[in-house]
Amino acid sequence: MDGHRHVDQIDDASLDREIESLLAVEASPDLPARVRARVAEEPAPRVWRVSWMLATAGAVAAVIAAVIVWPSRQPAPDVAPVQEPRVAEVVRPVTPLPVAPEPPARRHTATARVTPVPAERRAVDIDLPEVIVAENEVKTFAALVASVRQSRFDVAVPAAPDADAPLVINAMPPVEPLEIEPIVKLAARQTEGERP
Amino acid sequence: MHERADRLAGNFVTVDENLAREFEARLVESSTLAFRVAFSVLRQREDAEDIAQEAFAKAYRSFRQLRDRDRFRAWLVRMTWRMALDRQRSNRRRLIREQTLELDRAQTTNDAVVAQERAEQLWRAIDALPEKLRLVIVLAGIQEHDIREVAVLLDVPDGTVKSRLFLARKQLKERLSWMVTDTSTK
Repeated sequence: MDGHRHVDQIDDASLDREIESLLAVEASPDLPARVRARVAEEPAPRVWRVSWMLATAGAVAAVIAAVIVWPSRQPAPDVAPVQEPRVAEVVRPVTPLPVAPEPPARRHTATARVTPVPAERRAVDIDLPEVIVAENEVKTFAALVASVRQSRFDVAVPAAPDADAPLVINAMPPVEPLEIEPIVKLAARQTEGERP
Repeated sequence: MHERADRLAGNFVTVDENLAREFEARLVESSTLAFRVAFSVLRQREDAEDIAQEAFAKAYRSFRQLRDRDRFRAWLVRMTWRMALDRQRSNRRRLIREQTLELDRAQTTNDAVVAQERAEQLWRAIDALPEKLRLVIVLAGIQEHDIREVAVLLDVPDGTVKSRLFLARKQLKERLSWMVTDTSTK
């Protein structure tokens, strides 16, 4: 209680004045001179432009040196070893995919890259892991393909196999190329009275 | 080729000269600030001057990043404060100074003793403040810095300075009142 009375007695202004008078200490007049002398011992700070120019010049010199020295260090090859093409080791024949014709504008710019590659050369010599597909999914997929052939879209999924039943590994059924009519064309035919 | 090199070298000299001129301007306007910040921690003139000097030497090393006036002063205050705290921790002279003060007090008049006692109480109260409040109250007490200037020096919003000042004053008043009570009961 007594302490609170004292707190009220000291106002902010007088406290600030007291602190200011405590801190109103002057440094000796020779302080700037001493700082100058101290700073004179320091190496002069360089501006960034100078250091950047030096760094850039160094980098350019290093690149030029590398370009000049590198080819001379590489021994000239005697005779290039002839390698058997790995095409002979093809493990799985890949069905060639129908290549859609490119629009003329793109073909003009990317001719070199879009050159078709023969099917046997596209084969990749890697062992892919066996894909395990559940029996009901195989049936669903087959049914879906069949329904699309008849211009329908059935996605009824048969019941999943019993989890305790022994696992049967099925290969995915081969898929022949499908021809899907655009929706607009199909709708036009339907309005004319045709049933798909 | 030589002509270009000469011109380039000439540019370097100009840049260095500009840098030196700017540093000189900062030194003239901020040497008292650095000294007083150091003094508020160390309360010993020679030590405070040493610290101010070292802080300027450090500032000179990084002056290319500190060419902006506000940035320079803010950096200088922070650096000086930290260096002074470090010095305070390792300072043996502090003990000697306190012993000297005791001797001085015995030789001075009664009024001077009262004033000195009050100053010591205030310093003790300031020392006991948390560091953030302490720095704010010291900077506000140096060269009549207003809230905006303190905010720029500490790189904090004005509102933060206001609230810290309020808390610092409140805590100072409380501590001082207890000290006065203690003294009067003795």
